Amino acid sequence: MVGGMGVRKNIHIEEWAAFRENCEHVFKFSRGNWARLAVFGFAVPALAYYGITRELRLEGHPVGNNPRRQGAQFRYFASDVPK
Amino acid sequence: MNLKLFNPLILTSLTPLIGVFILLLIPSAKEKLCRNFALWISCLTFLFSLLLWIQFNSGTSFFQFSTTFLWFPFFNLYYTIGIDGISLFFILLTTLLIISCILVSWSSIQTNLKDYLICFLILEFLLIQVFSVLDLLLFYIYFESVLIPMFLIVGVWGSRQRKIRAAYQFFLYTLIGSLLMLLALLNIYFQTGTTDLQILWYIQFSEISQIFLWLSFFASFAVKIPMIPFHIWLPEAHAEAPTAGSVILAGILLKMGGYGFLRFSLPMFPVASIFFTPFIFTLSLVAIIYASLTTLRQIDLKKIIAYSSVSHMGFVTIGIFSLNIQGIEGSILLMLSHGLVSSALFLCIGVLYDRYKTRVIKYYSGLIQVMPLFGVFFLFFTFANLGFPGTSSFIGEVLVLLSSFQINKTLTLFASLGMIFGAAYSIWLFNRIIFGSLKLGYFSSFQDISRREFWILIPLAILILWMGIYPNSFLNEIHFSSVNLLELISHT
Repeated sequence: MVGGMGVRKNIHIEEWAAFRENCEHVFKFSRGNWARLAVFGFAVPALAYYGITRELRLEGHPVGNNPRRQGAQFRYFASDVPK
Repeated sequence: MNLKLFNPLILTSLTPLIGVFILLLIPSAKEKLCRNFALWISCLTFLFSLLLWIQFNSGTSFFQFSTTFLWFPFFNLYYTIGIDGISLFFILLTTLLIISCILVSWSSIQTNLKDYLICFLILEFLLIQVFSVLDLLLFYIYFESVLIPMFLIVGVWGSRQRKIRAAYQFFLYTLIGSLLMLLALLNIYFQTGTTDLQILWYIQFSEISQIFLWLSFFASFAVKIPMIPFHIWLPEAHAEAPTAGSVILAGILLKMGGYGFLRFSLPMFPVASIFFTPFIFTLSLVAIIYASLTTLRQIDLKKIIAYSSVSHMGFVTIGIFSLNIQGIEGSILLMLSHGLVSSALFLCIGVLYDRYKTRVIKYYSGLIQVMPLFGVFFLFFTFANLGFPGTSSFIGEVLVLLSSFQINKTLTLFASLGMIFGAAYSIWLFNRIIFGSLKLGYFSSFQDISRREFWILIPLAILILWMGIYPNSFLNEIHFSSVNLLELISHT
């Protein structure tokens, strides 16, 4: 590889990049951050899980349930696949 | 012992190891000889792996080139290797990318070059073994062993001070995940008395056992793929690793998780796999959306590609757990495609980093004026990354979306947002680096890609086009193994 053409670094860009990179040093568990964590860390995934499971159940797929316990049949038989 | 001397799989496996032993005999001061030798060994290994593809019988789902050695017969442990359509292309990808890694490090590695090359050849041996062993214990051993050379590559030859932290993070995350897998493995061994994969596939574990075993395997594979929220190690490791380390991480190491799901979790624990499908779909969807949005906010070139990898791997896990033929084949194709595209993008970023020693995007602008050939390559790989028709990612993503559409339309709708976000961050990245006015205040001189860099990138570009235009060359080999996998799931 070619080398030896280093960039002339700009102190402001470097400080900005370091600030963005070391976010763990400036991060605080404020009320806003707790709220964001609750929404994006729990509420949104929980909503997605609910939506996915609901549609699977509505369409009668065995996924999401224990197929043996509920007596459901697998819908994906390899024999259906063209060989 | 069923040993065939000219078994291409044995030749492919042993060549890098023999290379390591010979390389150890070469004095460290003879750097040129070390480099040339490592390159020839990696080329030879690639040629042997091509023999695997040439001699591979795509009309069967049985393991081919399989050989068994006595290992610990008293404990019913045998060293069995063999490949099917699922593992064939991962081995080829490994042997191809190792050549790129050695070439890309040609002049950029200044310290301990011999040790660096030894690390890569050992890594190649371990990765080939990961994709070819047919024993759960051996898989675990090789799966874990990969950590050692990778830890050294990131920690010793990384670019900045943060490399130590990144190396430890990578090591600890993957190790903790894998410890649960070890416990599960011991449980399986004491329940069944064997770790032979071909026997374990036909053993029916109780439902509750399957759920606990599946979760233990999941902890290991989810860290490796990685799925949100187990992905924290990935951007750090990518950003701090040398270019070749990032190529291996993105190109092959992430695929070990997907391979693990396909090879172990689905056929051994089908009931648990079905039970946890909504959970996997949720994590995948979250990974696709969150990682795409995070990618848009990144200012480090390598972190942009790293987070986009997390997003793409979300598609892979959706495909795997769709449990239909399009999903399985699409996810394998997408993993192969991602191995080529993300590696190529990391190589492109390596081209910039080797010249200017910075990855902060703010410095770069208007490079098309001074690096036109680089601009063309970067455009092509950026388009491949966003899943442009005619490139390999498009085929993989479409197959995965086709498969998920059959079982969950809401999931498909939101997952397809990932393609839109992918286009947004990829084109924005390209636009910021390549177009605009040249920032002459930061740079004193420019040089377009060298001949060596050209020859590293061109095979990847050709393969991406090949896979995008005529994917049947790859799908034909994968098909029967995927059907066999579905049969194992449906007959349990």
